[in-house]
Amino acid sequence: MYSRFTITAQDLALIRGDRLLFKHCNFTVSSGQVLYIKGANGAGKTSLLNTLTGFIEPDNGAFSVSPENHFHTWLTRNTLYLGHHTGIKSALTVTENLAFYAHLRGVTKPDFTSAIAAVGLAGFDEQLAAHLSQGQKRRIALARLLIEPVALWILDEPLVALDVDGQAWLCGLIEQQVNNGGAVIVTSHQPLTLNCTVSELELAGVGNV
Amino acid sequence: MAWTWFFRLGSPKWFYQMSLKWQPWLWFFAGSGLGIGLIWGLWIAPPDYYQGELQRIMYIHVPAAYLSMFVYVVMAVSGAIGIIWRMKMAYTVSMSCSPIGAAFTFLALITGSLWGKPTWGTYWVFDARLTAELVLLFLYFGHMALFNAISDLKSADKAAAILAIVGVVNIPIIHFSVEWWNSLHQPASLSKLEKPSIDSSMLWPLLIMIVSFKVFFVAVLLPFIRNHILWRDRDAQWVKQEVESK
Amino acid sequence: MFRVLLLREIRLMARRKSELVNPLMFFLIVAMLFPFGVSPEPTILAQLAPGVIWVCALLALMLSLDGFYRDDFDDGSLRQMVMSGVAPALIVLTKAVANWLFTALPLIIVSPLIGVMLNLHPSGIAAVALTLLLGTPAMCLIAAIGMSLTVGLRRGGILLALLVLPLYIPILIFGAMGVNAAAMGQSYSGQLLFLAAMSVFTVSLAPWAAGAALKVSLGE
Repeated sequence: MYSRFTITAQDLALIRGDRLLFKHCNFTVSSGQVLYIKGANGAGKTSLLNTLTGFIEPDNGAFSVSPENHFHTWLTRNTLYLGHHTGIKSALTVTENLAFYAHLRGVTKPDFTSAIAAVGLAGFDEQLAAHLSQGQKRRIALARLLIEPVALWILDEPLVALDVDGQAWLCGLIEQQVNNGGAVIVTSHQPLTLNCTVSELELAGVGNV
Repeated sequence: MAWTWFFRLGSPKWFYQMSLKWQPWLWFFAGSGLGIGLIWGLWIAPPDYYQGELQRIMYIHVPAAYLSMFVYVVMAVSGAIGIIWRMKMAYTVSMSCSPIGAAFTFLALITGSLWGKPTWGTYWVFDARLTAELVLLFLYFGHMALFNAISDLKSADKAAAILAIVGVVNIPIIHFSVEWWNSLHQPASLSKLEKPSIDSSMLWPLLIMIVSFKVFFVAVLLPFIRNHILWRDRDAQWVKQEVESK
Repeated sequence: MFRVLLLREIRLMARRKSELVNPLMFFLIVAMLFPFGVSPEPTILAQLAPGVIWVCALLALMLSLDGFYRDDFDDGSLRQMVMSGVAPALIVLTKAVANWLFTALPLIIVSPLIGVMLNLHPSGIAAVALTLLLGTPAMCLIAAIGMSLTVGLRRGGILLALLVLPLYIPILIFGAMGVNAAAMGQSYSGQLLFLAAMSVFTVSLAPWAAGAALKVSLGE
């Protein structure tokens, strides 16, 4: 179980290039909740996540987390972010990839074998990631969700390149995280079938500034 | 909607309108200062004992060289302000500085090599000051190139500001090492300004030129900044009205 | 954490050993071009040697840089490291250390060879390696700033050179000067001290600038 927390985004606005991606964007995510960010291609979903993770400064508004004070310190300690690029090195084996991130996170006694088996890669532990398919590489990244115990998952299009079984498995995993008192922020073009509280945030393009 | 953007647009708009009011005064002071300095330096001041009339190029070269470094410092300081206080106007100032700084550096290089032709017999010698100016020109070019290469304006602002700060820390080191390198390689080359002391009949016009070059810099900087403001906030309501009214 | 990051760099390098040789080959080939371009006359070559060795080392170091950042940027590893709580400054420092270990150190080791090839006076041979040893850390870190600024750009190579080369000038001056002094049989401890000071200075400041730059590049 994770300690209770609530993330609040207040009155966000973001301009990228000539386009106003969103304005007056408000949302909260608490322990035990899923935030499902919807929107067409180019509506700014990934940019919103980049703003949340601190790589882009919003043009207006701010994030906060209660009961902590400093949002970004909290965020880097308690967040796992999986985006389009998963940070899995082809030149490393499956276990080496996972061990590196587990080390950075300071996980004690990580169980790589069962996590690798859980994502359907049993027996591939010592294989170079280069020898795996695109979908299998994404599964390596998903195995991190099982190894690193963090309260907040930010998943940008996690269903891409996963087969039907994989998608169902991931949905189950998200439910489990929520039941453990964690929270998940997710974007997806494929429908998510989740058996838990899902709040939705629709990003409708607002066009020019 | 207007109030949301107030913080973002309020300050550039204010700057834009105020700078329009300051502009005529700046032109006046820069113009009269340059006029007085030039007349004094080029006609009234006595010719140099060693170099004759040729030495009068100093009244352009020295102020331009001073300014080339001064502008870089202004650029770096305003870039730092932009990063620390997240001030858009500071980035605007910083980015407006680099083409002007490059122009002054270029002027210093041209006048330096024109001065060098009769003194050294060639337009280009790897003289310490000239070489340092050339390096400075490359630093300006790098700053502009980096800003133009990054498509997202906010990233470009920050990246260019970081580069300017790195550059300003390095300029003294580059200067010092180039001088040292030069003193070992060309001990005999004629040093242009290192006379025992400069006579006051030459010092006064030089000082006037240095000061009025600085005023001239500010007078040129403001239109650059206004241009930048109009370009950056091209979608803001007040900019559209401003452009239509012209 | 530094250890974990560095171990990863070493492991990745070990899997593409062939790339270790490339900067060395570049270094040797470019140095070999000078006799063709200028003159095979031993006395002329001896005079050019310090500068040639230093410029070639500097270019080899800069060109090898891309390999250390580009992949990690493209596959999202850099972002994952930041999101795992690693300070960007530490990431950049690790990269610079790895770059030094795998590119600069081999260059330093073969540099006396090029000295001999270019007919450098025997008393200058040791100075070549020593000046490079003290000067290259500063070069790796300055390059790290440039690389962090340009890693997000598709064609950052030339821009990187434009940003970084002017900043290399002091190191080049004192490095080549030290070799020259040594070849003439003079003391060159002053130049060595300057290079050491430059390296200490950049090690303490450059990671912060490069880290901030990396954060900006990751936001693109």
